[in-house]
Amino acid sequence: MATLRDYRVHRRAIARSRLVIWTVILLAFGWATWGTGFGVLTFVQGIGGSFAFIATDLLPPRLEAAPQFIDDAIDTLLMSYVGMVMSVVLSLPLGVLGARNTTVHRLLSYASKGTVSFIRAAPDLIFAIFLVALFGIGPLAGTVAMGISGIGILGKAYADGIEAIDMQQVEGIRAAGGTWFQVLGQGVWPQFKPTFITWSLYRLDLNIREAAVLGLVGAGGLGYALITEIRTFQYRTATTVILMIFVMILLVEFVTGILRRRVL
Amino acid sequence: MALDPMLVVRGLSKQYPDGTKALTGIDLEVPRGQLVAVIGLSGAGKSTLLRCINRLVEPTSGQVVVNGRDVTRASRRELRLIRREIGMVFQHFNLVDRLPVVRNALHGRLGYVGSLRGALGMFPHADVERALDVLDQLGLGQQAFKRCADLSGGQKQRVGIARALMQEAKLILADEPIASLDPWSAETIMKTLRDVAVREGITTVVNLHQVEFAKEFADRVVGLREGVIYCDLPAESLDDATIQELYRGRVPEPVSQEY
Repeated sequence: MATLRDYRVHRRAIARSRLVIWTVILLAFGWATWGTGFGVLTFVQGIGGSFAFIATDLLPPRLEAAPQFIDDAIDTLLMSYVGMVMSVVLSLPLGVLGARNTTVHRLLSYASKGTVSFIRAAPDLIFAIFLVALFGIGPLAGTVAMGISGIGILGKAYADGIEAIDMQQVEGIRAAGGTWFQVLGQGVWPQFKPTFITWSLYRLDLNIREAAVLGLVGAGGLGYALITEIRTFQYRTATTVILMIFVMILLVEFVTGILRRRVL
Repeated sequence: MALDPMLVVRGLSKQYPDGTKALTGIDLEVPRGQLVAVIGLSGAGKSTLLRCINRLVEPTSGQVVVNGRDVTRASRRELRLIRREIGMVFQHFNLVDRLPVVRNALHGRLGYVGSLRGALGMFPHADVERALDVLDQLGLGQQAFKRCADLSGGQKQRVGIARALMQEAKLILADEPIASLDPWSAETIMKTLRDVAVREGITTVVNLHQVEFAKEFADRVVGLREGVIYCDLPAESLDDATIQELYRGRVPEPVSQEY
């Protein structure tokens, strides 16, 4: 029988492990703060400077410049869309083969997940730098960069989504004598579809954001327009571009939201 | 050849990777058209036995022959061909919840249509007509185009039976088909299984918890205890002493009538 003494020992053990965890967290934070030179004082001082910069240089936006960026905006949209489709097409087989419950062989699952993790480890920017060197400045490099880097996200999301489905439903199909392909189509897909749609559309969303960053290395679209304006100190025009990116994200979120409700 | 037993199990054993010996040396012959109930405590190996028959669980040793074909030695392709003749009915129905009822019934045809067409859910018109007909016979005519998720437990189980019928199954394996159902639905499902067995001459092996249902609906009762066959007799000769011993006194005492 457990006694009060046992209870105290048990409580003390918990307290000790908590102490260890908090010590580690605080030490890590201290080290990270020191390492990055993060100081509350410099941070607060910086805020003042930032606000001054925003108020005097970025505002008000030069809205009349908007029409000249419409083409770039459309470019960004198309790049993001093509990039998403490319990621989806490449990620689907990787997801199916990566998921433990649908893979053909355990080793293939490791290989598949490894590939996806490897791609995820490299930031889009790296892909974009290589691809700009390969294809030259322009939307193509950005599109392919987003397409490849999307595999890192979607490949994992798909595999996880497939692993989360109810295998009893799949067993029903298998017991009826379905082939591997039929089991995928009739047992796995109907359950996986909502996850598939949600994550694929989320990637489209992310692509538009990322397109802005990829502009830094000349990968076309609004991002390239943005960096050009900043380099020539046209901050108010740059603000316009930022606003356009923002509006586009809202627009895509709105449309994909409707789409999702329709399909699911 | 018609005198061949539908199902022959010889020396079947199953040991799980964690060391659990679920079945030891099971021998069983089921003639065509018979309805066999397998009873026993949870963990006695009923589910494992059923799943070894269509190799959803891989047996450790022994042999299973269904309709004259060796299941245990079948290649993947042969196994699929054998499975399409074995309908399985599950405790948790194992239907695809997001698909309509009629499609779930049509899944019984997967073994008969091309891999790609099956994967895309494209079935011949004749199959669709038959599925609707079968559903109608089982009292699900009104539900055919609803999602399975929207059905009651009893209705779902009838869809499970419809799927087995669409397979033109020669053998139906039912793994605790009524364990998740209310008594009224349980009665309906057992009647349906019985009707199907009699009308279509389908051999049926059904795992049950409820001894009463076994006695009422089965031709024969096989009692499993700790992975071995403890008793195997016609349903009408199953007496209380055997049941008591099979469940080793764990059958709840009859509730007292005095109040």
